[in-house]
Amino acid sequence: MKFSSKMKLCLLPAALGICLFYLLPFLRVFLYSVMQGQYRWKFAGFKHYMKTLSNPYFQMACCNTLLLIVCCVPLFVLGAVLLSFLCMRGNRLCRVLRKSALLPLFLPSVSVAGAFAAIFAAVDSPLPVYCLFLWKYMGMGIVILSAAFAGVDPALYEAARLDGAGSFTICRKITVPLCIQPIKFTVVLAVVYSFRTFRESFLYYGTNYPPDHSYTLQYYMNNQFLKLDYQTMAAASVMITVLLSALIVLLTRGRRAK
Amino acid sequence: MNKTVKIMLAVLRICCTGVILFPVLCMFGKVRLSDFYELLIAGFWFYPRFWYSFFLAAVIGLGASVLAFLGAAGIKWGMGKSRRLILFLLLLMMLMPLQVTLLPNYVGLRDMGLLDTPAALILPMVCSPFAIYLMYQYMETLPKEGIEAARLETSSLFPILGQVIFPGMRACVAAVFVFMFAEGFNMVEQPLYFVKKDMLKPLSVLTEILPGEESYLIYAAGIVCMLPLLLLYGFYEEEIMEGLGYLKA
Repeated sequence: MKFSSKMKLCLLPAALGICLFYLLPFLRVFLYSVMQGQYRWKFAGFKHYMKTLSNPYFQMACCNTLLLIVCCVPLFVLGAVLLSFLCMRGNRLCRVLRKSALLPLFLPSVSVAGAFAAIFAAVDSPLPVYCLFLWKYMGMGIVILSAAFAGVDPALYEAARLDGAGSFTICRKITVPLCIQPIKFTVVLAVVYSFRTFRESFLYYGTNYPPDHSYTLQYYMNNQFLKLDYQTMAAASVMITVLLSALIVLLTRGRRAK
Repeated sequence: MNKTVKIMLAVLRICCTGVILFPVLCMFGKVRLSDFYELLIAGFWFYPRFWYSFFLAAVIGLGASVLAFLGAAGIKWGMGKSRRLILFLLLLMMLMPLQVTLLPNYVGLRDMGLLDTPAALILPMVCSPFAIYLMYQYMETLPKEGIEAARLETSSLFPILGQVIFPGMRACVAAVFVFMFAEGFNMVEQPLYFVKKDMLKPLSVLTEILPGEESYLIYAAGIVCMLPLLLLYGFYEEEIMEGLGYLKA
């Protein structure tokens, strides 16, 4: 047997799993979203989409999610860039900082939500969830950006220093432009992780119906799922998938053109 | 660089570390020793749960790293032109929020009759697109010469996989293992949706399991839950840094 076909065999289990649990079911979910009902296979057009879009809770959830993205994603990226600069040098403090920045990513959400509930005992705004999100997931951005920053050729820095550039100018004119692709990827990750914050938010509030200001899209989908309303949930899933895919394609296209 | 700037930067670094570690320390402030006594010695429900969660996480970590290693090698050396398309699909799947993949997962599990079994929690996580994608990105950085030289010697698969590719991939395999272990130890949505029986719920949905009057135990239980992950993270910190660093679009 040829080597490459043996390698293809290696791919088989992973491909099987991905198809069974992700790809094929996703097609079915798409079908759900355009059919009359789960067991009535008749084309329904955009009925479920219209129903979802006109639902007041869906609109509120969209607003809250957008607010979360608008408030937190810039902070996330900025924070990740700054912290990666801070831990760029190899001395001991930098290593400690980098270690502790990545740590929250690996801590169980139950423990973390408990800790935040203790800190923000009586805050009536989505602020605790925002902080939780930034605190927990910024490590991922820092790892990616520090790896990218470490990949910049040191000769460039030396040359810039010879020309009299200060640290700040070097960061702005050399490091950031050279690492623009990883930074864009960090933006994508921040958006994706802002969707993932449901987990922390859920454990923080401990209920399916949090206060209105924290009712995000994920709560909406969660409740739709619990009400067994698969059609509207499928419609919402498809819409989110399309929007996010568009964002991902938009932000990662640059490299392909090169 | 002059001395004041250096000191200021050092202070800044210490402050950042402090802010990051503050919530963790806060937990320790909230807990009393008697809580630990009640949880670990007086109560009976905790240990089976803990080992059950641990078992789930270990299976997920191991399974995902093996599957992703094989899968990534398969994509790298077995696929020709279709590689880019596969990678793009993997990237999309890995970046989709859980709420979007939950319904597909649920439908897939239901059709296979796996709901309400531990397999419902394990299988979708084992086939993680993230693990395969990360593994592939790291594999791209391996030197080509090694595997070409090995192929001149032998064309059988397992010596090449085990003795040529794997040694170069150690850091990444460790990173994937720890990451998936943490994900598995930390899953919240999956147990909420995929299993109904109370027995099958792991510790990560503690608030669901904990009897109402014992809710003050959550801090103690949270700290005990952190331990395995802290240990793993402490041991493999370098590898995780290196392995995850190769993640890119």
